[in-house]
Parts: sequence; structure tokens; C-alpha cells
Amino acid sequence: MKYIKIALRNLSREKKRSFLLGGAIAFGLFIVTVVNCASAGAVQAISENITRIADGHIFIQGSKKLESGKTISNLEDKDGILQIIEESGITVTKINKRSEVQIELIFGDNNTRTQFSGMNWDRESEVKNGFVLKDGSLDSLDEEQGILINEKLAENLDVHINDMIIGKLQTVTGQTNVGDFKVIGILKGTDMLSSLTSYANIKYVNKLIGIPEDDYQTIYLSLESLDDVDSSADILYDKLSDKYQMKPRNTFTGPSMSFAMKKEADDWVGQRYSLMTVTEMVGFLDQLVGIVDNISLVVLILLFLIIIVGVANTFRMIMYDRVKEIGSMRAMGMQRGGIRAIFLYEGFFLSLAGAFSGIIFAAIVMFGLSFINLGTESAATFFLRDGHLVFLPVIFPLVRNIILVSVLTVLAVLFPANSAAKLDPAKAIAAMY
Amino acid sequence: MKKLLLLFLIVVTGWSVAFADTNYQEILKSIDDLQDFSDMDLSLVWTIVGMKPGEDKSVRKIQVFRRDTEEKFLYLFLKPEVDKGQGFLMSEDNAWMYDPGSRKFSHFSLKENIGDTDAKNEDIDGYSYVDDYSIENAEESKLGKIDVYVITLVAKTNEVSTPKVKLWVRKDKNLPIKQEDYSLSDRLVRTMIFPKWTTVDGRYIPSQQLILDNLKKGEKTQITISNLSNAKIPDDVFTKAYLERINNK
Repeated sequence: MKYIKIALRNLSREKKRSFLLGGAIAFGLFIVTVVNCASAGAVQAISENITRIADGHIFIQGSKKLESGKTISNLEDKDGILQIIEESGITVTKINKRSEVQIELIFGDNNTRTQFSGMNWDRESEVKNGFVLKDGSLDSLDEEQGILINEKLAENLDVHINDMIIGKLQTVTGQTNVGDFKVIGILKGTDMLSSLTSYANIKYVNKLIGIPEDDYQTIYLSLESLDDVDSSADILYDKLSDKYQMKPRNTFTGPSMSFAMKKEADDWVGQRYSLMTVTEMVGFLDQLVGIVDNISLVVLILLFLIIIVGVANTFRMIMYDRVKEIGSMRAMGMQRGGIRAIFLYEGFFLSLAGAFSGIIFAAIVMFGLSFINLGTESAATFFLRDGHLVFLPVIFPLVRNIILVSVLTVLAVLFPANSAAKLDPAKAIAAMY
Repeated sequence: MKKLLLLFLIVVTGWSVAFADTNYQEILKSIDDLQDFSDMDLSLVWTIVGMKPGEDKSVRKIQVFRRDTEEKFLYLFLKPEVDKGQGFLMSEDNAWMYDPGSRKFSHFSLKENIGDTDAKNEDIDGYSYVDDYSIENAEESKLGKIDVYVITLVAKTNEVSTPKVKLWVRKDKNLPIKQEDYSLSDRLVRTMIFPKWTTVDGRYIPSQQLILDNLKKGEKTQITISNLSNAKIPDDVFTKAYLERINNK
């Protein structure tokens, strides 16, 4: 205990030196902590954004291979699937049943592509009540051709309430079809994410894509939390696999994996189903976070290799500064181990103080950065939460980095500590070194 | 007696329609055959001019090499300058895109899904008037001063991307000079005009096409064919190495 006290006293009496050495350690930890927290936060933000757009965490769809070899969207045994969901034991907070279609909207000289969610407004009153309208009314939602579009999309198309828009799309079997839509509501929100989806009457959407009016194509399951997604999806996928032919789950092999060039064996026949989760959709980003994490670790090690050279040199200087003091302590009976321990404790506490200062400084900076509104109109908005950067505390890398920094610093101090311990007391008192 | 007369009319009318169908089927088959270059190599240059209201014309030039017997195609962008050197090589079920900027190829299978949908690249194949459509209506008419057959076709199955097609075919040469594509909801989506044809080894190919987007007013595309040849194309043209080599020149 006395060695610890002496080490702490030594650190406090050389405030400037301790501050500079600790500052170097703190800077390294600051950079790495911000990078780790920002990359994890970006993945969290993307998952939340996708959940918000898709209005669910787990998505179940069906495909059927026709005799011609063509694959069409077909969710055949809906009741069977819903029963399995109910009996699976997973906690589902909401089930949405919708038909979705990619559509090209044309109004005069303007055109844009968007996704239409075909909604059964009787079933989805909760979603309906959550809409904030800039213009129009939800009273006419039951109109067959009525659509709700986002403010941004309305701006792009230059449309207003009651304007008729042409929509060009493909049926589930790939035939070209065209329908007329009437703008009955314009939803508030100019951000890019909100403009990705528009809402239409499911009966009309089904008619246009060539399936029965009371049918639907996708089951959306909302869970209590993002943390439940993977375990719930695993349970559900296993249960569904017992009864149906299932499409293999998405496995992302690397960040270069492209959605557009997705590879998949094409040797299945008949009817099959697919289960996808928001976490799978951002799965490749998880790997990206892992890569960023590893790169930041390498940077941290390189940074600290430079820092420990400085630390080792400084402690060697400290040793020479304290030669007389060491000699006195040795003359008064302190053993070599004691001298070594004082140096090592100094290094250890210096690294801890530097590491925690760096992390605290990082926390303050991240807190400040999270208040800056970066806007929601660019593609970068996917990485943001309502236009703000998200920083997620990542415990394991933090603890690992603190341990790594402490070990490296103690190793750097070990050599001067050994030299100090080996000093001859008589020569040291006489300051002959 | 009335019943007999009615039966006679039905038989005669049915026979007439069947007879008419047979003739028109042959016309359609001859149009299908126009696109059949399975016994020769074909090289040509497409000049594609896109016109949109309020925008400058966009001009693209693409060198095309085709060997239908081996299902090999190579498209090489010549214009605009920003896309120059980009290439697209297809061989049976495989395709590669070459980006001269990164000097990298992206591979994808033509049997794979497109994007995250269930649509496949193979669904984007062309169609055959005879195999994919049945005749809904056919009549003789005039387009300007030209005598034409006007044939309305409906898709035999719901897997054909264009559900309804209306064709204007020159009577003298059995060449289509106009085509209208309709959606499933019977809306005119696209009009194609083939004002000029050229021949290669006795077969016709449209040397000029005008495509009008009927849903987007004023939007049209003009495709012109030049440097048409059926000379044998060296085998190494249909290789990735060729795309790299041509960009190193």
C-alpha cells in the first residue's frame, strides 16, 4: 500500500510531466473510443431506420416456381404460417400483412420511383393514427385509388391533393401494368427515409399486381426490441422449416456483398418461403464494424508503440532525476522490489488516468456531436438517427483497450524500473550515475 | 331453317377467322425469323439518342458483338466519354461488367435474382410473336400511304412482360413498321416506329428505331444502327481479356 501511495505522490508532484504523458495516452484512447462507438452507433441507426421504413423486424414472404422456371411472389399457406408464428412462443407485438410493389410514379414531365405499401386500413389503424399530414385528409383513405405520399415525393413530382398520378409497375408474374392514383394525403417529413415508401389501398395494389383483392404478400412481425430479433428469427425459421421448404437464410460473406448481385442456388422447385430480419439486412455492416474495430485496434497498438517509447524514455529520465531519492530509500531499507513496484505503479496509474481521461473526453465530445443536426436529405441519413450521429457504448472494446494500454505502459516502464531497482544505494546517494 | 343458316354462318365465320389466323401466323413467324441470326456472327454499332423535355439530348454509342449460336454477346461503350471502355460480356448464363476506372469485373449469373426481388435476369429475355402471343384481331389498313396489316396480339400466358401488342406490318415485305405496347390494364405504354430497315445476308434488321414513351410526354429514344457486318468475329472478342486489352490501347 505504501508503494502505491509513493507512486501516486510521485505522479502528483510532477504534474506537468504526468499531464503530458497521460495526455498522450488519453488522446489514443479518445480516437479509438470515438471510432468504435460511432461505427456501432451507425449499425444501430441503420437497423432502426430499416425497422421504421419496413414497420417490422422479421419479414416472411413466399415464392413459387412456375413450370416455365419463372419465379413469382406467392405467399400461399398464410393461415399455416400465422399459426406457426402464434405457436412458436416468440413475443410478437404487432403483425402487419401487406402487399408491396416497386412503382414508377409519373406526373406530367416528372417521374420518380418509390415503393408502395398496399395497406388494409381496417387492420392497420395504429399505423393510420400515427400519420402526420401536411395536407389532405385520412377520411378518404378507403378510396380505391387513394394514396398517401411523403412531402418530399410530392415536391419532386410537383403534385397536390386530388391530383391524379400514373403508376407503372409489374405484376407478380412480371407483366407491365399501369394504374391511376389519386393523391389524398401528403405526409409530413422531408427526409430521404420518409420518402422511400408511399401507402395505397391494398385492394387496388393487389389488383394491379395480379393477385386476389383480399390477398397479401408479406407478413411483418414487430418484436419488443431489436435485441430479440436474432433469437426469435432462429426459433421461427426452425419451426417453419419443419413444415415448409424454406429459402436459406442470408449469410453475408463480406462487406463487398452486393444486394444487386445476390448469389443463390437455383435448384429448388414448387413453393417456398423466406424469412428475413432487419439485422440480416444490416448483417454486412456488422462485419464492417468488426473490420473498423480491428483497424482501430491496430492503430491503437501502433500509436501506443510510439507512446511507450516516449513513456520509457521519460521514466528513464525520471530514474536519473530520482537517483538520490532512490539511494536514500534503499539506504533506509527499501528492497529492490519496492523501488521496481513504485515505478510500475506509477506507470500503471498513469495509464489508467490517461485511459479514463481519454474515454471521459470521448464521451463529452460524442455527447456534443450527437446534438449536431446533419440533416436528413442525403443518403448518409441511413447512418443517422433523425439527422443526428449515434454513438453506442461498446463495453468489450473499451475494456480491452484499457487493459492493452495498461499492459503496454507497464511494459514500457519495466525497463527503467529494473534499472532503478538495480542502482547501488551508496553510489546513488552520492549521485554517481 | 334459321338454325341451319345460323350454323352455316358460324362455320363460315369460324373458318374465315381460322384461315386469316393462319396467314397472319405466317406473317408473325416471318417477323420472328427476322431477329434470328443464329447461323452467323453479327457486329454493329448502336447510337442511342435519348430525348427528355427540358433536358439536353443524351447520346450513347455502343459497339455490339453477337454470336447467337453460342449465346455470347459483348457490348462496349464508345460514348459518352465518361462511360467509354465500360463493357458488358454475356456468355450463356454468366455475365460480367467491366469498369475501366477500377479495372475490375463484376460477375453475376443470369439465373440469379435481380436485386432483392424474385424477378430474374432470364425474365428479361426477348419474346416471340408466334410462341408468346395469340392473335386477337387482324385487319388490312393503311399507315400513311403504306398498305399494312394491323395485328393485335395478346399474351398467351401471364408471364409475358408485355400483355398486349399492336403491330403494323408492311404488306409488301412483311416488315413491322410500328408497334404499340399495352399494359395489362390496356393502357398504351410505348410506341416503337421502325422507319428504316437494312439487310445483312438477306435478312432484315431495323437500321433506325424511334421509341416513344406514351406515359411520359415528350420522352423518346432514337436508336440507329451502323457498321453492320456479319463477318466472323474472332473468338477472343468474347473474353474478359478483350475488354481489358481494348482499354489498354
